[in-house]
Amino acid sequence: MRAAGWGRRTVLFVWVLFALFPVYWTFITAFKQQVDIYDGPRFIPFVDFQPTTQAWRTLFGDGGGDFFDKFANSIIFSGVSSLLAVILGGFAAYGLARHSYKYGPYRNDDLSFLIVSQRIMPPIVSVLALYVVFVNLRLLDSSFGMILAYTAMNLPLTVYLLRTFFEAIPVEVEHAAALDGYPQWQRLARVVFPLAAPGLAAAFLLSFFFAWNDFLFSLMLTFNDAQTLPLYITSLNAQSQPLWWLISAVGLVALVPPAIVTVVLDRFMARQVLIGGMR
Amino acid sequence: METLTVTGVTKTFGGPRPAVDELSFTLGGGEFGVVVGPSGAGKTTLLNMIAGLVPPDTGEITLDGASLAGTAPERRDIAMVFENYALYPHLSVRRNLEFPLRAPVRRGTLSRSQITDRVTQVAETLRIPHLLDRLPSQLSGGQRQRVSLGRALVRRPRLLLLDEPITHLDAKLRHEMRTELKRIQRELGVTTLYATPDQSDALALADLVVVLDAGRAWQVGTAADVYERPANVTVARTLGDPRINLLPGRRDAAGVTVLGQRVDADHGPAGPVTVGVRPGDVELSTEPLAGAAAGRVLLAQTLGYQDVVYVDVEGATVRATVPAGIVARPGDPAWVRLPAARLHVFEAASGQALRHREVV
Ligand SMILES: Nc1ncnc2c1ncn2[C@@H]1O[C@H](COP(=O)(O)OP(=O)(O)OP(=O)(O)O)[C@@H](O)[C@H]1O
Ligand SMILES: [Mg+2]
Repeated sequence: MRAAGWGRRTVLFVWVLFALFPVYWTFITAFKQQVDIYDGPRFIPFVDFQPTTQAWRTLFGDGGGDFFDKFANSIIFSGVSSLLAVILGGFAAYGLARHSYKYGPYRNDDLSFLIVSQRIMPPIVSVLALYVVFVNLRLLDSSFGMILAYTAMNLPLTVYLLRTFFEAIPVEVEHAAALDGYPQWQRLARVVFPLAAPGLAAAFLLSFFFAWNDFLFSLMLTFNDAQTLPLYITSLNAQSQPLWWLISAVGLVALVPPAIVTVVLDRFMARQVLIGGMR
Repeated sequence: METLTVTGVTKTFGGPRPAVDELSFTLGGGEFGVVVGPSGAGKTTLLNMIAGLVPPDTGEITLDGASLAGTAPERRDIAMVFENYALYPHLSVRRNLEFPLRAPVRRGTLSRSQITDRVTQVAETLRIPHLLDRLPSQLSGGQRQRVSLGRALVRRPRLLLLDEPITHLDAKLRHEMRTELKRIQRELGVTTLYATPDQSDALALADLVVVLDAGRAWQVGTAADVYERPANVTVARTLGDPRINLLPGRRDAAGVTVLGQRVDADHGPAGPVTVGVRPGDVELSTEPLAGAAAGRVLLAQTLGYQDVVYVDVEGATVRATVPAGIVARPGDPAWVRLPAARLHVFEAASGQALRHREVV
């Protein structure tokens, strides 16, 4: 028993080292000077090299204006578009789960597939068309345009994911709320959404990650004002010698918002365990 | 005390036959009505239509004289206990019980302390005060059923609908809950409609029985009506346990011929009939008996207080109940006599009753 415990711990320890090493490397690189980076690998601060906060001073000092703008763009675009995708997708998914639609030969499953199929296609296929649309609607390099693009990008995912969550809620629970004296909107607010909370949280989380990590849309649809963090990082790479210390510092900062969102939403996703089987 | 009337209600879901077909009955205020019928009979569909969850295609439903058409379920003040209980899984038992009292339609009618009092009271009636802080997932089936009943009763609805509330419980608990349900209903005087596939629920609880099969009401009446005087074969088959014997026979001016025996009952125009006789009315003997048909024992089951013996007579299986302890082994010869006074006679083609058993 004891031996097995230690064996498992050793394996886990090695795995954690393996998984965290890139993060560690990014972390120390953000505190290195140019020489420490280009002059062979240096692993341990204070031993191998003398850490410096030069990158951080650039980022948060005078040179940081650009960084803050892009950082704010990334947070706003990802946050707002994910929220919209979850709200709009939530309603669409609820409709698909609870009502029977018939548009010509198309039923609920066909509609679902139509929506999901928007995501099956690689984004590179649609982004050129989207570019033309954005030029004509004067949405290029605008916050509104980017939020729109990310919302559209994430809707198929949220609809698809949430439909199964709503379908898992027994319709009788909603009926009970109706008989208990709650009109449709109240039933959604008091019963359906709380029960679908794990799904809503998961849908938001995934949407946020996709938008946060997007490179293609930002590359094609923005050039300055509405640029996001990934584009900014690339711009640091564009010189003859990449500014690794800056790139690493930005990369570390870029880890923070998704981590916060994950930690916050994880509690909601864990609720499912608590509530247990609904049927 | 609200009277419920259902008049000519029909609902088709797109299948070949309606789920509920031209259904009509009246349930008096404060009465306990039982809708009894097999799985798929249309019980849930009927209750859903009364609750306003499913709109009927045609027909009218009224409560206390006023039509319910066009009234949303949340405004009907009808409570329902669902087949699967449908508790709110994310809310504690206490919150589940408070839920109807805090509803928008009742906003401002009850103070906070009144709500607490009502919840405490209903929890005591149902003997669940110790469960108030648990989540539904932490309850047993019987406990969930009580909470579900409590949630329906706590707001003193105008009409209480129960959809197979105790079918999923074990036999002992089922009996207990049945008695308790009747007691609570009497105490509160709430008009109640109870759907069940279990005929013994109907006989034990009902002021009014609606025998439902394939969406149709085959008979509406008191428990005594439907048991003693079944209007047709379907009703006779639905009520009674063990089930009534339904045997092919012939009727003519001299009487009825069944199991090859002539019985002096129900003289009438000649024609094929179905003879119904309750297993308790069958006279069974292991010795030859005057006017009895000879057969062979197929199987004997004991119910503890009595035995059910299955006898093969000329290819027909006859069920007879006998006092426990009378030994009948498969293969034994047996004689079966059907007393004339105890026979129900139905027209063979339509299944309509021609004659009922005489009540002694
Ligand atoms: N939403 C629906 N769509 C299509 N058919 C339905 C629907 N609801 C019920 N039915 C059909 O209507 C008939 C009656 O169903 P219902 O659920 O009312 O029966 P029930 O008497 O409650 O049966 P059980 O005892 O199994 O609960 C069945 O044939 C069923 O398949
Ligand atoms: Mg049912």
